Amino acid sequence: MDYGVVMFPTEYAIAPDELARELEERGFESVWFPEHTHIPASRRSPWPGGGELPRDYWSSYDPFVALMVAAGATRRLKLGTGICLVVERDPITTAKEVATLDRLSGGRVLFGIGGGWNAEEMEDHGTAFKTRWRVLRERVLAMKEIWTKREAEFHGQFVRFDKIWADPKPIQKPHPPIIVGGDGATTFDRVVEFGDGWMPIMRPNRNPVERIPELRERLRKAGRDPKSASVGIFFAPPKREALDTLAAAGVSRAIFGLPSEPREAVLPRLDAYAKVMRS
Amino acid sequence: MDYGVVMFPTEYAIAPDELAGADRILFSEPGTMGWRMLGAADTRRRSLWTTAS
Repeated sequence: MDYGVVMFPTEYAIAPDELARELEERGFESVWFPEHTHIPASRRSPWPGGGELPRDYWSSYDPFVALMVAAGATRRLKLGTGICLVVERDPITTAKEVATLDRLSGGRVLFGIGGGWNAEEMEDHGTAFKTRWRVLRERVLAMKEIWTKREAEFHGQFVRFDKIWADPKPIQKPHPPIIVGGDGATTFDRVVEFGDGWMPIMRPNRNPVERIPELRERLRKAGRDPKSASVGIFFAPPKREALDTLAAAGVSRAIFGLPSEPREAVLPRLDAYAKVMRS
Repeated sequence: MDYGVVMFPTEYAIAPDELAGADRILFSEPGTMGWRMLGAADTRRRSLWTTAS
């Protein structure tokens, strides 16, 4: 089992480079930074977490910039977007950012992706909520073309470009792992078509590991190795017994949640997680 | 006067972090460094330090 942490990197939290160093020193595998480009002040879409939306959601640094800072401070720590809101991003620019981070970090990117939940946020970027999965699909497929082809081109409903030259290509071949977030009715469609992993959130009333056999079967039916998509759990419980249960169910990465707080609050929590990790 | 350089940061050029750490070079030959750094992009580290010495 690999262990990572997810934290909103903000101006009021431990800095991304310091967090990354502290994680690497303690033997963690990965750091994960979420993404929200902004939060519309209307606050129409309810937060899936329930209640008032925390300030972290509109205060977070850009994940790729924060991950680059983390990369510069470390040698081995893997760098994850958790998750990157592809439906809010130009695919050519995002392909460039992922490839650049992968190059400059020596091939350490884990490209976590998702569609998001805030309808008005994605609408501000020109994506209608009802089209988000089709937009995401085309943008991911277009990025794969850019990462793997000398002259990429894409002609879809939402993404269209003729042959382009776009280097650098990522160090990881054919590209950094695409790890699909979410736990909805159509999530496995995306994992099976273009995913290298699945990364659902563990919630009090829903245990996503129960769906792992279904994922394996879907992969097998699609002609893929049933183990070709790894499973990671976001906000995994930091308890040995629970982690052993996850591992037995086929989970290979546990990602613990960290509050977006200063080092004085974060480092003791990291020590506690590291103790569980080594137990 | 403040001095800077412009360079396409590429996979075949001096790495951005290494380039950024070369600021003392800027003060050794401020008038020409921008052009020489652009040349260094093709020839990497050795040429960068050579042109600065």
